[in-house]
Amino acid sequence: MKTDNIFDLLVIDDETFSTEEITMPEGVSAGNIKSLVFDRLSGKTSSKRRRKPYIIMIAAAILAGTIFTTAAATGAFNNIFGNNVVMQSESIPVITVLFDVESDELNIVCDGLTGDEDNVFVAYTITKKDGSPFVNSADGLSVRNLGDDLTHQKIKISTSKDSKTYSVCRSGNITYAFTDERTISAFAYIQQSNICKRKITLSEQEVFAYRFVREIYKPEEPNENFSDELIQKYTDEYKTQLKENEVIRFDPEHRAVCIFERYEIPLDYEASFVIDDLSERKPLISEPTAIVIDGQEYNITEITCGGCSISLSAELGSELTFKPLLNDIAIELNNGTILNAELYSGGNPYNSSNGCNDTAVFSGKYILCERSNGFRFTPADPKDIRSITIGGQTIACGGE
Amino acid sequence: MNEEEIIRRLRKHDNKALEAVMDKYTPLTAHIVSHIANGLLTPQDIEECCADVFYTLWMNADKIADGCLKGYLCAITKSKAKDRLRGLKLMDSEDIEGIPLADDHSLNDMFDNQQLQIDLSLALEQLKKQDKEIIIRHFYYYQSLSEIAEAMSMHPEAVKSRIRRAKPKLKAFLQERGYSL
Repeated sequence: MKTDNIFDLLVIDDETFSTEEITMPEGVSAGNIKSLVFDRLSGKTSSKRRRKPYIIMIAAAILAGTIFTTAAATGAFNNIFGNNVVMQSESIPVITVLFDVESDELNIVCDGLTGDEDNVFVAYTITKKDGSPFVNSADGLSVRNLGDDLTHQKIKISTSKDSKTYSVCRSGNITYAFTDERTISAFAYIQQSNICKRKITLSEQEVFAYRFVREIYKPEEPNENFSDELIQKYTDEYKTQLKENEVIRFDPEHRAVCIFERYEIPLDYEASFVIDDLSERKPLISEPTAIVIDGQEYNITEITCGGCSISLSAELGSELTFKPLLNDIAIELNNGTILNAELYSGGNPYNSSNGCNDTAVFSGKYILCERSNGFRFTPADPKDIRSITIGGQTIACGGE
Repeated sequence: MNEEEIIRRLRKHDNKALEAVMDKYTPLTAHIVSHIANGLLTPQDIEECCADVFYTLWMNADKIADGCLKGYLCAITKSKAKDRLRGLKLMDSEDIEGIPLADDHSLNDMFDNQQLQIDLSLALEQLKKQDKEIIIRHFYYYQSLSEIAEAMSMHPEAVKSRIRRAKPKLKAFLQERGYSL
């Protein structure tokens, strides 16, 4: 913890504020804070924070014990965006996404999940329980992905913990595409700061279907590009002629700027899901391990993973002679991936801010590796960790 | 449990003492984090940050000077809140408030350097009572100018100008004592 502001170093027993006058900020729970503190001291997940099981699985897409990678989720996302989806390379260590759906008419199924340190992307599909189509092509309604119209979706992402509702109206947050008349593919983007240890509820209100009316501009050159400016030009030119439910869109099927009738398809449902943040700490070694680093003996009593960090407890085999070391901490996963602790905050238990100085004999827990962004996610699933390397010494991990 | 007893038992790593500290000071801690974050942190972030504060206090309990528990908590809280904002890339690494030091200092300087504490406190004592209160409210408790103005029945511009006049006095006092500012 560094500061260059002298007031940050000031310690005064000031009576400007009586502690009795101060109220908790909205949404912040003193009980939760206390639980978090004692969790850290004990290295366990307190019973109060144990997650309730979710029930009511409507469809078969339960995804258990799987870390989703970009490749695994590409199919679902490509259905929506073609090959334009660019995902971050890092997988987030989430397991067991449960969909809890409440709807009399709809099935909502999670198809895949991926993300990076800042965002989580959830792909899911919506179908009707009776198998009927969302649109009836006999009426001339068609399923089309008409680009920016996806921005007009009214989506709510609500977190049950603080009962706040975030209205989302941008395609960057949630996007639809009709994959066929009977299936809607949806793709939700959620910032990590809005999830984790909370139930996320997606409720959707508007989806649009289209009926072709007529073309208004078709280029003579088949390869002419349709720029946004071109489309806007015709939109401005024809907008006074439009009926109430008509819109102008570029239609890839006609390769023309066209007028469509647009109809709302109301969808009334709530789909809730939870991402397991792996906060429950689990041991990576089953018994103490003795190692020697630069002539200093250490008895590693415990290595645990969970709650956004991998931490280590150790006792000294002899009195500590302070040395700067342990800059080469690495965590190896079963698939051969090496997590370099330098990519995360923390990582050096011999930092003097952890209470260790040149002559102290230390004990206690030290954080080996902690995610700095998306900090609620633990760096890796405990069962996927093969070994920890500290100061050139490798300690095999048995996982769960 | 009075504060003296709390500190004594904290040094012995008595869980009850920690619990007493949290019961008394969690609102203050959360209040400071919330103010520093200025809406950038969710309630859950604030809870995590406050937990960091009490955990750090626990791990450094043997260094708490008598009569300074609240002060240490406030200082740890500010440091942790800023660290969290930096970690989330919500805050510039340089703090534009306060009186910047020439060199980085760690939180250990707060725990270990009693002379620094004495000099900082003496610096504040050079100010008029009202100015001292304004400086503490703004730079220590992170109150906004409008909040200070309302609490002290002043105009925000008056608060601002008092801060502007007080800072050079503090800086000069500390420089005379050899601090690089």
